Amino acid sequence: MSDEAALSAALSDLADCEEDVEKAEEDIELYRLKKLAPLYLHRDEIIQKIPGFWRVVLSQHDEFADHIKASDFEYVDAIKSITVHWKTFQDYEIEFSFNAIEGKLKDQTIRKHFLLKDEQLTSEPVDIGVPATAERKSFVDWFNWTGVSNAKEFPDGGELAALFSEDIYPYCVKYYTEAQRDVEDEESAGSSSEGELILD
Amino acid sequence: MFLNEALKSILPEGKEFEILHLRSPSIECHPLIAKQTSSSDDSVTVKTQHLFVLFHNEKTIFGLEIYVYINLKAVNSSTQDGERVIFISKADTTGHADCKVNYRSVTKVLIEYILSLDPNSYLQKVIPKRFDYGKIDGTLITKKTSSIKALRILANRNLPSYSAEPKSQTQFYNSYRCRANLETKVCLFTRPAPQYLFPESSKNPNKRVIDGDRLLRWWLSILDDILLETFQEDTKARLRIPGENPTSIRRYLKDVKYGGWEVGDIFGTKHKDTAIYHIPLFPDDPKARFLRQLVEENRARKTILETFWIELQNRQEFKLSVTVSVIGIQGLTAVKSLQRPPPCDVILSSSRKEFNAIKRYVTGENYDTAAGAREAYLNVRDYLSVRRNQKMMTIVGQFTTGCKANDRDSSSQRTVITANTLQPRKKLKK
Repeated sequence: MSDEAALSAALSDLADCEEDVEKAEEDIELYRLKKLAPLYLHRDEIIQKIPGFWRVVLSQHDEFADHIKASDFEYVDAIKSITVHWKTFQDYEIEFSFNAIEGKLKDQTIRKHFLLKDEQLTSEPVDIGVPATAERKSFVDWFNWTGVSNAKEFPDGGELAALFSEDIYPYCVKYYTEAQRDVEDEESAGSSSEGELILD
Repeated sequence: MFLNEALKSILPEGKEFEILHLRSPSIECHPLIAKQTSSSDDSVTVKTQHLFVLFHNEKTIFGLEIYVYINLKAVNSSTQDGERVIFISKADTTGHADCKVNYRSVTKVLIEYILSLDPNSYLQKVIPKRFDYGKIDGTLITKKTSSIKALRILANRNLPSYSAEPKSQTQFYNSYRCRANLETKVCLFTRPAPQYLFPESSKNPNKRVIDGDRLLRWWLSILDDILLETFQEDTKARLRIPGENPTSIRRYLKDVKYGGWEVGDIFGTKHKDTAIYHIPLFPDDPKARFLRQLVEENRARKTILETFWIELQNRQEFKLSVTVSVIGIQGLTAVKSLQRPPPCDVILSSSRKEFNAIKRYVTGENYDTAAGAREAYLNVRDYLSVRRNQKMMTIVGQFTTGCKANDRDSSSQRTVITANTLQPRKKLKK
């Protein structure tokens, strides 16, 4: 076999192999979902018995706070439960249950569907009975986020969806316990640009 | 000195403002200046951050960030001796004010307010530099506690039979005492920048961005007034302009009123002394960045003060020919009664995390248009209301001619700005 032909064959083999790797990774993802699903279900039931669980988690989460207005904490505090229902990691629904806020929000459970296709995340609007705000897009406007509309939408709505499904929901217990620390962190937790100079 | 009293005397008459005065918890940090010997000593440095933000018509208009360090010389002795170092980190405007505000006076009054605070107010519930996690009771949750262990601790605490004495957190924090009137240093690095605290604010055509020369004169006139009104008469006042000779530096000192100004700095007098043992390490400070570079380049122990100042000016972070300066004050204040800040004057953040979260509402917006300035205001207001059930302090200005006063024409305003609790002993320039 000539050098060229050998290289060609190797590259072709590598492509086949990569296809198998990708398939295996998909299988692992699905296995992971399958394995975790009953545990998450059980966890959701337990969390229901811990008052204020989601309020604590969402108040602890800096990145979540960056997505919403400070006034949105009123709605955040009304969240009774959050659940992510995955069909696949690319196709999932996030379920929210709200307590009523008098005059503002009714007691309700809604599901918002997200689909990641060709690297674009899209969704369909969900009516939670709060009129859309005009200028300052609020957390309640996120439920109307589609990712494809030309109208002004909740900013970075896709990132917020990913934050719920990839971080807040899977690691909610970690955020819950972090918020319960009795002793606050010392200096070493601060930024490195403020640290002590180490001479030799 | 109450914050609202001090501010209303210099804010324009009849106009309404709101002020956020946010304070971080106090935390033990590394010594500001590297120690020459590694011998253990019992000095302690406590760092606290202040952020002042002024709002008008529901928009951010001005901010000032100040760090206060209390350096206790020997915490195990009874001397209670130490020094207070005030690092003026950043002052900035957004250009979104709907009325003329004398920011020079606002800055001056806020620095005087900081100077009027009893250093002991920073020394309660100080977060230690390092917790001895081994010694911390296993029933407390720290950053070393795993999620599962934390849940077990919480489960135990919620047992009906749980009756352990309430854990006092204070035993894990430190408290110190110091003399009320510590020697005070005020440190400042002036360098022109389009914005310091408010991103994109330089794109607002109504914001006045000033060059290095005028910035230096602006700060000099503020500190000059403070020296006359707030410090005792033998106070050192020093100005250094890296890259400039003493004769040119003295040009800037021609118009000052305080007699004690000299060319130089308050960090060390001998040119041949090693810079690293004399220059303090402040956050986000060009001097500190240069020190860190010297350490990286293995030149820290070799670089003397003289070389340090010459090389500092040539660093890439400064544009060529831009005027930067180092201003320092060192002395005792002439404030009669140092005070603990009244609770209404300050929002004490519960943690550094909370401090940064509130600060981010202000410094995380884009200020090229008024929308960002308004967004910041609404978020701060709503956060305080929803999460802390607190409000910012409202101030109605009482300064009658302030609206047309020129920022740098200090002579016309001097009589108005005197604060009640300060007893100046003036040492006027001869």
